[in-house]
Amino acid sequence: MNNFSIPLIILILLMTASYAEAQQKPSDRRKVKTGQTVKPDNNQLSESNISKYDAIADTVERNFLTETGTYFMNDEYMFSNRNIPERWSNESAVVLAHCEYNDFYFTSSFNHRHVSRKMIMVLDKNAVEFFSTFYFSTRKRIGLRVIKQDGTIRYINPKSGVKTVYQSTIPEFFRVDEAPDFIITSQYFFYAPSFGIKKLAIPDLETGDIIDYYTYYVNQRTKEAAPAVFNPLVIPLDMEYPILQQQYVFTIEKNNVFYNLNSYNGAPEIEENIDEYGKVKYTLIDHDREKHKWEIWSSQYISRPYIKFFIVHSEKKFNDKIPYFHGRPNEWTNVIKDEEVTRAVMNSLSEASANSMMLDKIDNYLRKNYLELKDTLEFINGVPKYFGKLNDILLPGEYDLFLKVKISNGKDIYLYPPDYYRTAGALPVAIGNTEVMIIETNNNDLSENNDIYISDDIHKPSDGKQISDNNKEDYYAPSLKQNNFGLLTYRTLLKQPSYTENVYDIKAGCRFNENFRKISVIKTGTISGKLKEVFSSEIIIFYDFIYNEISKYSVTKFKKSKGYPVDDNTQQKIMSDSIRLVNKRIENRKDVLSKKFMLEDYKSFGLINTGMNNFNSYLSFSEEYTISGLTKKAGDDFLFTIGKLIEDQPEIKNESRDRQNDLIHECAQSRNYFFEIEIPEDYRIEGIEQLTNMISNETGRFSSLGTVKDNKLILSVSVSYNNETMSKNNWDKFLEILDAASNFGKAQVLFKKN
Amino acid sequence: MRQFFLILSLFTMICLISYSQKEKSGLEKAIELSGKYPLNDVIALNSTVKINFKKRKNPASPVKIYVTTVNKLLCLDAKTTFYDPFFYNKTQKLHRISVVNKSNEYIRHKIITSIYEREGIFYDDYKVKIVSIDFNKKGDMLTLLSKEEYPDFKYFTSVFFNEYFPVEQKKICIYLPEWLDMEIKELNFEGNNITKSISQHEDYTLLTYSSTDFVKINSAENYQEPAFYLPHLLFACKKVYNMKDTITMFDSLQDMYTWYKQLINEIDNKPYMLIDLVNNLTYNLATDEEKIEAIYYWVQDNIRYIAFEDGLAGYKPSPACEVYMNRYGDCKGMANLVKEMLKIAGFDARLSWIGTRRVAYDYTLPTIATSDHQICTVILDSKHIFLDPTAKYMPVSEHGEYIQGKPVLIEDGINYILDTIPDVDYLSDLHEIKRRCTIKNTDLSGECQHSLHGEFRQWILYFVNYTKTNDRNNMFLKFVNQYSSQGLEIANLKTSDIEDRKAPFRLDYYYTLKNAVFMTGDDIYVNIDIDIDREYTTTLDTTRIAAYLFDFRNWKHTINELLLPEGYKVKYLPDDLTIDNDYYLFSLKYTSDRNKIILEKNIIIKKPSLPADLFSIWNNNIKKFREHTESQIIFTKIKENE
Repeated sequence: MNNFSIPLIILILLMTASYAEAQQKPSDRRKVKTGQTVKPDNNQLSESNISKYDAIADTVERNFLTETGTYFMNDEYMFSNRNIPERWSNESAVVLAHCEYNDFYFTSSFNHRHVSRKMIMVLDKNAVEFFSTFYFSTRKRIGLRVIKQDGTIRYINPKSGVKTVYQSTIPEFFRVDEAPDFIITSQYFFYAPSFGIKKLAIPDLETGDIIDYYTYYVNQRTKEAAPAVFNPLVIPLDMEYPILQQQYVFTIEKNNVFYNLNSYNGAPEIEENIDEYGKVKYTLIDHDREKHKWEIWSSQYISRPYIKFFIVHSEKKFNDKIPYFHGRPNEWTNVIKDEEVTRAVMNSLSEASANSMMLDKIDNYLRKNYLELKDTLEFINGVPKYFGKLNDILLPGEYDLFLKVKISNGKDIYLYPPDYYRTAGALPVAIGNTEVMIIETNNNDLSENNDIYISDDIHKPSDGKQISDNNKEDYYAPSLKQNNFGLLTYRTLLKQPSYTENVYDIKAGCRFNENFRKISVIKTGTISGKLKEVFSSEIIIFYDFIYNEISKYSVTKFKKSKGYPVDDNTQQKIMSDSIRLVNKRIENRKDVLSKKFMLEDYKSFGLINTGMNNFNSYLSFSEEYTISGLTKKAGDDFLFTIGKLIEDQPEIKNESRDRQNDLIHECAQSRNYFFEIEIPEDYRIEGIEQLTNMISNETGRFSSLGTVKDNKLILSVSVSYNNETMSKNNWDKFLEILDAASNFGKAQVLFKKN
Repeated sequence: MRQFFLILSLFTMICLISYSQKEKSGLEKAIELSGKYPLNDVIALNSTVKINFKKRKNPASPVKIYVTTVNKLLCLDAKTTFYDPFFYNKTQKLHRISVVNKSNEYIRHKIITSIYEREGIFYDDYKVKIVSIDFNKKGDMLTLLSKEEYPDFKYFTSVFFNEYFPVEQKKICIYLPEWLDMEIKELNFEGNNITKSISQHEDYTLLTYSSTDFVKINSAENYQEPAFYLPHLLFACKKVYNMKDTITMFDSLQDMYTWYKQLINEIDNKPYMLIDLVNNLTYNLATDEEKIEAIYYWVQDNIRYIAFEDGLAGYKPSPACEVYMNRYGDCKGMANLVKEMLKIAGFDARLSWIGTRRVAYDYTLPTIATSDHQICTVILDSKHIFLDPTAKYMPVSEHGEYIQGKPVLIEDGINYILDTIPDVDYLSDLHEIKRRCTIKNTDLSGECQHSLHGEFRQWILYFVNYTKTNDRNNMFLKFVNQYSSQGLEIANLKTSDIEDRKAPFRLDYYYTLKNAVFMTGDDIYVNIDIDIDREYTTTLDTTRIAAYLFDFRNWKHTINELLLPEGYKVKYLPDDLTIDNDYYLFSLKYTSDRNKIILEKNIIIKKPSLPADLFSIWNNNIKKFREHTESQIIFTKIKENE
């Protein structure tokens, strides 16, 4: 066994254990028919075997032609166009045509038939290499052929594919191809590995060749299920390669179905028609689509053109209980009305749902933190800013639900489930300055309880180690009463903290060692507002969360589901893992600093305040370390690259200076740095005037000031991003701020010997 | 009677005491060992491997081997799930994995079976069973037992002392029957205090190796394979003695070669399918060298490396016609295709087996563990020309570091030829950088030429050709910035022919480095060495035990010239520096001419790997070197009266 990367292997394999099935026989992979009629390699092949081989090859070809003929008979015009626009001649590959049919129909079950065909011309060696290993899921029927430049066709036997483990290294191109298997979560797409993956070595692929393939797949749901739901589809129209023509068709048999469908961000509109069998058909036709380009401070949901689709079947008697957004049965819903959102939210608070559990946890937190609570609660339904806006809601899970509580001093606080990266009372970073929906209620029925509950949705500690697999039972608190929710719904904007409230503040004292190579730093960091959530993963650990709770409530025993105490071993394990993380935090801090400096020594870390207990408290810490690499010798003098003391500022390179999309930041923010550097005896500072800079406009501000006082060099630097979101029209102004901050990283002063 | 009861009571007490001590011992041991293994949840107090042999009637493989492993595991932490992987493929069978407690009762555990993919292998018949055991509390002890079978002697090659967890005490027992002639090579025993005992029994000899304190097997970037440094036993099954006859297995290298040869003799290459291609490629070519190049480069360029490791197919090349038609193959298939094409062109081409730098063994012991790669050898005018078509953009006369100096077994009818791949030094793999620059305000700007030879050239040709066409400029920018200070602005970038694998690869451009010059009063401070040399200045982890592998031996030679700013003279030049030892050389030399400063820098990696015991010296040296490379030149304004 040559490779010994065992922990990684274990991790991957545990994730993919379900694929462990018998392997394909190697002999199968030779059963392909080629345009040049290649025979199998085995010299002992008998005549009967040759016939068998030919029969298999014929079947592969016949299957391809039959299936593509059946499902794409009307699309031949798309698949016969091979003319690539001149502007794409330097591309690696071009998708000549892509056609996708999603057919929802009823037999004894509720069915989703997904048939897709794609034709790709490979134009360089990179594309040849890329498409030579072709991935597909085992639950799909697949047909594949290579059309050579001279027109000869080679059909590939999909059975020659070999099973592979699911891993993140499978290129996104093939993962997107498995669209029906993508499901949407609160933050991002992920690939649901509920099936096996195969890979196929495509033979005889050369530049100029065309790969033509289709996939066929039927997914089923029991009709009686209340409701019967398919995973939502989110289909981006731009991909890694430009697309000449593409078409998406959704055909729906109207039988107590609720379906949501729309296109976004400049995608063509969807047209409704009735097909020849009387089914309603929705079509989106798109052409000349440029490839996807990534941009900093952007989100695919607000920048990429895409389609969203969701369908539910329900017997009439269950219609009111469907916990998803929907309009009227058998009618196309392309926008979700506010009352529909309210209804779905209320349904989702029914017993045993995730939102109901969230409510329980919030209840627990309310008691702990805001016992003076007397006023009303409001549910807030906000769309995470990376997803878009309220009007973009179409699919389940596209909103974040949390509580706004008016406390006795008249202030509003916001409550999510307890989470050691979040601050009680603070608006989360994900909720930005777009409209949210308020669902008013008047519940204040909060029972007394003094236990601490360990939530199973607490984020994993940063070393990836959860408290323990065995502790993954549901740890949640008793239920908050849900009697009086959903009385009134309206939209509003939540007041967002400004860049003066979201502040990252660093103060440090620095001293050179004898030969000026090393600098000892004693630093204090104070973080406020939404930036606490941004930086907490670098600073806070699970241990802090636990001890924050313990010290506040003098509780020593953890509880789990229904309030039963955890067993001693579990309690011990939670404590032991937490304590281990203290050491891990030191390692994490070293990693963070090592990315920026040559870290010589890390002496200490101290957490002054977790900042978790309310929005106005600060997350603060101190640390002491020694770095090198910032001084350069020049005879008896030395140059000090003082600009590197501040955090790395984003450097916008040439290829990224043209902006296509609006910007979206974590939050409006300020980062302030204050350094006091002791000037060694017999030395004076030269070039200090170069440290003074100031640029300010409507997008932000960069200022720096160097002074000498009490034989100390004092550097103050401040960078502000004034707004959380910004129009691309202001990009040039914002670049001025970014460039000034980035250039300051090279700022130097001379320590000259007297 | 009273005495009897007294004795009985005493015996009971002793039993109780010893029982209670046993009960305690797990936790006590765990407390005692937690400090020794702070990063481990579970260790093995004892690990015993027993190797038994059984005669088979199959003359092709007359012996099967059983390997039984017993690991007595101790939990050092509270409530822990422990994982241990068992790898196997078609050449071995995993008979049993079980877990028992102190009372020998079977304990429930999970086993997850999955395919296992090794890097660079498209399809691998390797699978892995991961046993998952739950420990309830600190001090819990469980025993993990497993039994593997090797039906064919060829695939039983080695046993290691280290496991994927730390081992306090290790024992390997070999029950060598008298009817079996086996050679056992003891490797990397130095420093591990391994004792060996031999005891003769009626029909077998028991060899017992034992020692203590084995660290867990670890891996990291640029690690040398464990076979180079971890203690282990290498086996070669030589003969089986029967009552009437003797069956020879791998008694000598000749026997192993005979098996290899038999495999390649079974291939039907259908060379007639390649005739047109070879004729087209060699048409109008005058010399043998040109013809060899044409064929070799065609295979490099047109056959993709896709490896299928599947039982015997892991040792038997695919037919040349199949590789040609598929346009893909593994090293064996590609070597076989080159061989068949060269034969059609009239050359004496042979298949050859070789162990790459990942293989720690040579051919002194006949075992298949000695080779992991196949190439083609052409015999031309009694000279051996080695061709490895998996090395894309490698010219005929050059070889990658991964096979240089390695023994190669060349087919020669029923016999074999043993040769060695030429071993070249760092001079062949040269990256030469020449810069001429001037100071403009606070910027440094000028022109730069890179010239890449050997594996540097092969590496960049591969990357540029396999980068998306419209991303190539970006790729070059990244390449330049990888070697130079952050924020280098590039213009007029030109390259030599990206298909030419023989001439040095040239990359020329103009550059500007903003804010590189510090001016104060009459003085200018500047550092003309703008290289980062990141790949040579990595600090190495002094706790690791495996050597650090460089990609290849090489020489980076940089000449930086700076024109003196008008009206200025040199006030200070940094000191020269030379750090030179058997493994590397770092040097900086400043010279001052009438109107320019020249800095000549050399970074030479003389050997392909750096032993772990030299890491701290390396770390000190690179620190010293880095400090010197950052030193500033000072110019000062010439005064009127000077």
